[in-house]
Amino acid sequence: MSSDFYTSSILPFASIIIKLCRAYTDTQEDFEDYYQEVCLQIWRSKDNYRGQCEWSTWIYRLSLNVCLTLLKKKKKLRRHLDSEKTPENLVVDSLAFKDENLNQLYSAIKQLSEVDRGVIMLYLEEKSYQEIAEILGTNSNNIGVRINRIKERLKKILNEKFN
Amino acid sequence: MKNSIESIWKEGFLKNDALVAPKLNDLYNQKSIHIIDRFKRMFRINYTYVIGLAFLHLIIGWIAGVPLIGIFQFLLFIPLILYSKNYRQKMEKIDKSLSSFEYLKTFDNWLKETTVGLTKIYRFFYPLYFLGLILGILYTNFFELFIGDTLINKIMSNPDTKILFGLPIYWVIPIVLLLALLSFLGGSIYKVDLKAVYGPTMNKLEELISDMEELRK
Repeated sequence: MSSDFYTSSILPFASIIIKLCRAYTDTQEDFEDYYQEVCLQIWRSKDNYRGQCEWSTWIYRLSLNVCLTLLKKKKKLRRHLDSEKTPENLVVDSLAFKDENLNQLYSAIKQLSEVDRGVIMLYLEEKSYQEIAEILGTNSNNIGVRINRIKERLKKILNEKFN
Repeated sequence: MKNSIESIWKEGFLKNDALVAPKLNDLYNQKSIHIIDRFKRMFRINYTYVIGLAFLHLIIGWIAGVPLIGIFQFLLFIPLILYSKNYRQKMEKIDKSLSSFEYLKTFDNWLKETTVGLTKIYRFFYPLYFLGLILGILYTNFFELFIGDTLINKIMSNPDTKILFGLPIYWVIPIVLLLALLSFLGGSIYKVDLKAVYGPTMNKLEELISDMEELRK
């Protein structure tokens, strides 16, 4: 990956990747791995981008797909580990951000299903229902209802856990 | 929670430290280690398999009543085993403290050297192995077949058989031609075999090296 491409085409959208990767990882080490893998996949797939949507939307879609794939791989790996013991490297990194409220919100987001995490992240990034549906490859009709349900669930988790 | 999740999100990310992108300099380390480990594992399995195959020929030769052919076939595997052993030791000695790129390049060079050496060995291996196989079939007394005796008697007693220096020339020439062809194609056959076993991993290695070369530009 040339540093030019990284600086001009990925770095301006790094916030998108960081936010998504944080939602799917528990440790700093995993977060860095996911971030790097997403960057690598963006670079590898850049020729497939035909301008059919905004570059940022395309990055969202790709990042989400990579995160979901990595998460699936990780789950497979974890099945081989003894569930009774918590390996040291799996200790949850709950202080990813300095803002305490943001950490709490992320902690709550991580309790959602994998797809719901993607939906709420896109909503919080002020993507339209249509865009969210496009990125997730679903119908936009019930995105609104789903978002409301997710928000309710998040509020419940936050209240129970942090109040 | 006093704030809505939307405001937590917005305010949280207003702080400068919230979105620091990690550095990408360690990007390929895990991939390099993973791919080379896979190669090493496959190479070790293949090496053990060749040793097993060599001993199997000894046993088959003995069972089939052609122990000398069995020994001949077994001896054919020896250069392969010794060469692989030598290169396996070289492989284990590759310095793991090198950077990912240098490590991959060193491994790639090792792989290319090994392939060149093995291609040369296989040029002799395949025709000689085939010769051993033919002789084994001809001289086996397994199930009292005696194919060789029957066939030689049939050929030699045929008045149309052309004999040159005591050999049935029209039978010997095709075999010699086939052996020459096998020697000529030995390297290519080995490369096909190599691609079938290591192909996908070799492609990944090449892809990774070219990615890293571009990254270093």
